Amino acid sequence: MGLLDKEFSEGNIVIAKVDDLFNWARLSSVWQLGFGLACCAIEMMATSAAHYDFDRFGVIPRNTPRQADAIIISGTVTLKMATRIKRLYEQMPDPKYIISMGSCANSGGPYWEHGYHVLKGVDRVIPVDVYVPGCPPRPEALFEGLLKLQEKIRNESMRKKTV
Amino acid sequence: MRQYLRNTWDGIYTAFVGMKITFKHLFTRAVTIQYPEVKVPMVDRARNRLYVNIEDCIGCEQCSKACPVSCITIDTVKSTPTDPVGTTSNGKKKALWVTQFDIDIAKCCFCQLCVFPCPTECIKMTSVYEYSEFERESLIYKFASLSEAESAEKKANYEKFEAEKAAAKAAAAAKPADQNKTE
Repeated sequence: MGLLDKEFSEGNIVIAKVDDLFNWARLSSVWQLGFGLACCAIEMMATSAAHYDFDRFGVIPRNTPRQADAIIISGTVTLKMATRIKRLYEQMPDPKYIISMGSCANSGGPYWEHGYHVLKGVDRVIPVDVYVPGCPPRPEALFEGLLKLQEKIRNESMRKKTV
Repeated sequence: MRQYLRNTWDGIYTAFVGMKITFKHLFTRAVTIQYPEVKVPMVDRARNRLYVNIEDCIGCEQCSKACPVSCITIDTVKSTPTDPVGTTSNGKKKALWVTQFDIDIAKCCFCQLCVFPCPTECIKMTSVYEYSEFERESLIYKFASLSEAESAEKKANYEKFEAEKAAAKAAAAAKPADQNKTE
């Protein structure tokens, strides 16, 4: 039984403390998969650059999904790319998080009605944690999405999920 | 040999030239904006989240027609003389109950094309940009102020009014016909 398999049915002080430690470690080093799809990727790069500096929050772009904790879907998800996204997501080790950035990734954006080639929201292939709206979102908006994600990670637990 | 030494010296020298620039940057001010504490002020014409002042909306649906991605859904019900809607803030009389005014912000492209046709200037771009959500459904903004029950009531009211009007019309039409018959 692994620590992270969510098989503890009862909470106690040890689990609570280990939870806190693990969550703190996870939320302060969300390594993202360097993965840009469209114009939102430009904003994502700007967020990583000197003016906004994603590194302040421990977000380092990694070049392989096997080392990444989070993936930022930044841009239009075409049907061809959707299968690749799915494969990359499955290659990431658990626990893994997804930020859907921009109108296109959230719902298909301008292509939601007539786009024959666009996936109508990346949540149709992978489970999204945080939706960042904008077309494209400002770097600050992406930051705010990351802060929301950190908030979500902070409230996670090793305990078995109660119904 | 001479050429070799010159190349070596050039290599060292140019490395120092480059490092001088790098070294200078040690003493310049950091450009990083400490985001959650410091925020860049937005200009007045910034295009971010849409806001609808539903009190002023007359339900003309011009914004939803202008929207290139059709992310605005509006549904209206005609008001009856016994139950008027009221007026907008600039004194224009409203004739329609806006039972549904949904903007799917996830689809919105922030083009501002919906803002210009609005006759009452009730739909606006604000400078709020921090509104990410955990659920896709939370990004569908519902601006209509009427509850579902109220909307149903207004709809029933209008249908009743229409039925009464039709009945009155039928009665008025039937009367002269009856008189004709008796003569």
